[in-house]
Formats: sequence, C-alpha cells, structure tokens
Amino acid sequence: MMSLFGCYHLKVFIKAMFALGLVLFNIVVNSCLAFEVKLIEEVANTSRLGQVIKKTDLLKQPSYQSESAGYVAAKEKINIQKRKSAWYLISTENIAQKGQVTGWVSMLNVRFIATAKREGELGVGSLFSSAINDSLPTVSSGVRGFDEKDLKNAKADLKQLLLLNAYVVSTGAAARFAQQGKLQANKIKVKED
Amino acid sequence: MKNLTCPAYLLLILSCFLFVACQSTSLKIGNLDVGKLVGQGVKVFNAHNIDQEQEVQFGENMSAVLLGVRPLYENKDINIYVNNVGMWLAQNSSRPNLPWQFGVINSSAINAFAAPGGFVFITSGMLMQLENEAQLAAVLAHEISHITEQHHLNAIKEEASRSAVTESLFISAQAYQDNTNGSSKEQEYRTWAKKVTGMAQELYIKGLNKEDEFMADVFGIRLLAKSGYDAFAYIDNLQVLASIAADDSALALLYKTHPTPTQRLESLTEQVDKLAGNEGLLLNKRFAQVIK
Repeated sequence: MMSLFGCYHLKVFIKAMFALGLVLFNIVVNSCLAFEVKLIEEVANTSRLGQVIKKTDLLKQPSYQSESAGYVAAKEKINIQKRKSAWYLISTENIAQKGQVTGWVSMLNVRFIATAKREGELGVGSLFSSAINDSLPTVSSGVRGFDEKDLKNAKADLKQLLLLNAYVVSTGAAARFAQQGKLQANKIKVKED
Repeated sequence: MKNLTCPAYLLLILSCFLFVACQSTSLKIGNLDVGKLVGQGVKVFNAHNIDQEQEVQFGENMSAVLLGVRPLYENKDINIYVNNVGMWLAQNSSRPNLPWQFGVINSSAINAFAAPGGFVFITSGMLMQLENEAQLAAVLAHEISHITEQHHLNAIKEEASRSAVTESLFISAQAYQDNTNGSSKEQEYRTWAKKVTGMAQELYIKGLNKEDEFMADVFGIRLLAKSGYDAFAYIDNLQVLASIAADDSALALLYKTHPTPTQRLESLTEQVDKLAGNEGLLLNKRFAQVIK
C-alpha cells in the first residue's frame, strides 16, 4: 500500500516537474525571440563576409564627394558592418591590423562570400533564427522542386485559383497596411510616369 | 455607320460572315470545332487582339499551370501579407486597376513568376532567403513590371506569329473547367486546353528574353523607391542570390530563364547612381513577425 502511495506521489512529482520545465522553456524561448526581434530591426544584410570585385575606393563618408580613406584591392575580403543607401561600411583584415578606421565602399562593387542557402519552413520560426546568425535551421522541408521537368508534367489546377482569389486584399486594405508601416509613395521620375 | 469607310464595311461584313459561318457550318481548324465553341458562348479570341479581360483570362490559365506544379503555401497570414505588399506596389505602378493577385507557391526552389493580367507568385524557397519587407517588395516589383510592360503577352504574340492559326486561339479558365469536368465527348476542349497549357509550360521553361528581364529590373527598382521602400534592398536580393552556389538545384530554373545575378547587378549601376538619394524603409520587424 505504501509503495503504491509512494508511486502515486512520484508520478505527481514528475508531472509537476515536467510542467514546470515546459513553463520555464517557454519563458526562455519567448525571451530569446523578443531579443531577436529587437536585434533584426536594426540590420540590413549586415555582419556578412564579402569581397570587392575590383579595386575600390574606400571613403570616409557614404558619398562620392567624400574624402578618401584609401582603397580596397580587388578580391580583398571584407567584413560588412552596415549599409546606408547604396554604400557598405566595411573593414578588412589589413585595415584592422594597421589600426586604421573602417570606410565606405559602393555596394555594387561588393559580392557576398558564398553561403549555404536557408532552408526550412516559413511560419515556424526557422527563418527567424537563420536571419540572425545565418545558421541553417534544423527543420527539414524536403525537396519540393520547381524545375523544367516539373513544369512539363504539370496539369492546370483550377481549384488552386479559387484559393488564390480568396487571399486577395482590397486597395483600401493595402493603403492601410502601407500607412501602418509608415510607407509613403514617393514622386520619383520613372518611365511609367 | 455613315462614317465607315469602304474597307471598314468590308471588314464588318467579313466578320459577320465568319461568325455566322462558324455557328452554322461547324467550322473546324485542325481538331478544333470553332463553330461549336462559338455556338456554346465560349469566348474565343486571337493573340494579336487581346483586351484586358482576355489578358486576365489568359493569366488565369497560365497561373493554373504554375499552381499545378506546386500548390499555394498553406498559411493564410503569409499569403495575405504578400498580397498586402504586392497590392501596395501595384497601386503605385502604371496599371493599378488590374485585378492583382499574389500567392506563395509551396516550393523549395528559389524563384518568382508573373502571368498576364496581374498574377504574381513567389516560392516559399525564395521567401526563405529574404530578411525584410523591402526585399520581398523587390521580388514582387520585378514581377509586377513584367505584367505592366506585358512581357509575357508580347512573347505569346510573337510565338503566335510563328505558329498556325490554332495556336493563336485561347479559352478562358472557366470554360476550360466547365468542359473538362463535363462529359467525355468534349474531347476538343481538352485538346485545346492542352495546347494552352503547353504554351504556358514552354514559356515558363524558356523564359523571357534577357532585355525584358533587365527592363523589369530597372522598372522594379524604381517602383520599389516610388512605393516608399529602401530601393537598395533590390541590390541586397541580387547579392544574396549571387552568393548561393550557382549549381544549387533550387536555382536551376531561375538561372535558366534569367541573366545571372552578377549581370543584373552590372546592368543596374546607372539606376543605383540615379537613386542614390533615396531613403526608404526596410521594415525588418513586420516581415519577421509574419514570416517567423
């Protein structure tokens, strides 16, 4: 009888510990996610490794009118710190060793060092983590290709057209969406004007 | 009527004659019974004279083929978010009144597609590579530009010019559905629909010409700026694509149908200089909240 009573309490204890563990786990995960949201608000393709495709002027300010800070040799590897307009603030190993300041280069002269593409599922947090540190998420999505062979074998799916239509938003909703994001239409000169 | 010239009269009489002849004599072109289709009220039209309604119908057919390869990604929030971004861009384009529809195709391939009349698709694999709303807008702006400039429609017209008259006839998606779900005797419809499907398949496999792609880049980056986004997110995207191994199978169709990202970056040099003063938004946080 006592051993049965002991078993019962042990079970209750294990269940309670498990529930407590889940709560703590959720708190930790949510805190991490909130921290990550705060972080990625500030960045745009930053903290990447890259290289310049040709000898490139290194400028003190992100402008062609800026004073020169030297140059970066063709194919030289760079650390991209942040982007402003069409300019990257970069540093290179050479510059760092000499204790020189970093400088700005035209983004068009930069190519990122090859990285593995991100994989996983949207809407389950995998992009979230990979957007921060470029690591591949653990969720496996499987191969759902869309190549020449798939196109040749395709049959028109009209039921999917109905689903597509169900997601349509009104122009008014899109305008409100833009307003919420503080997007404003700019009057730039484009051909269709 | 008084103002009609002699050739116009002749054209009108000829059109009436052709319409009546189609209905009454069961005119056949190849395996296709045109008279029967016209008699049943099915819209038949010619690639060389397509109005906006027909452009949308053709886009429906082509979209049905794309969605036949892979279905839409099953997440309402993500699809509606993409529609909001796309519709905002479309409202700043030269053709805001098209019935714009945007969808996320469930595929690990990295690609995006457009179909005439306002249909735009991005794969979930492409969406996965992006970091902010401006980059999503950049992908959609490129595809929107293909539609506003009627690149696919022009490619179809060119193809129709090289083909027999049967190749220049199309049928609406609704008519296709009505008849393929109908009795087995409607073989003509199936043959016909197969031709339309085949044309869409060929076009998406072959791709548009490179000049159209470069033009869509120029119009796309401008549309991005015009809509209040950071225009240089367009360059970010191309740099990310360029950094993924070119032999990655996820990029196979994109690379087959587009110039390389490096070529596209080079062709945008002038535009980047022109837009240097642009300061738009990236909207990282809103993007992460939906695509997480």
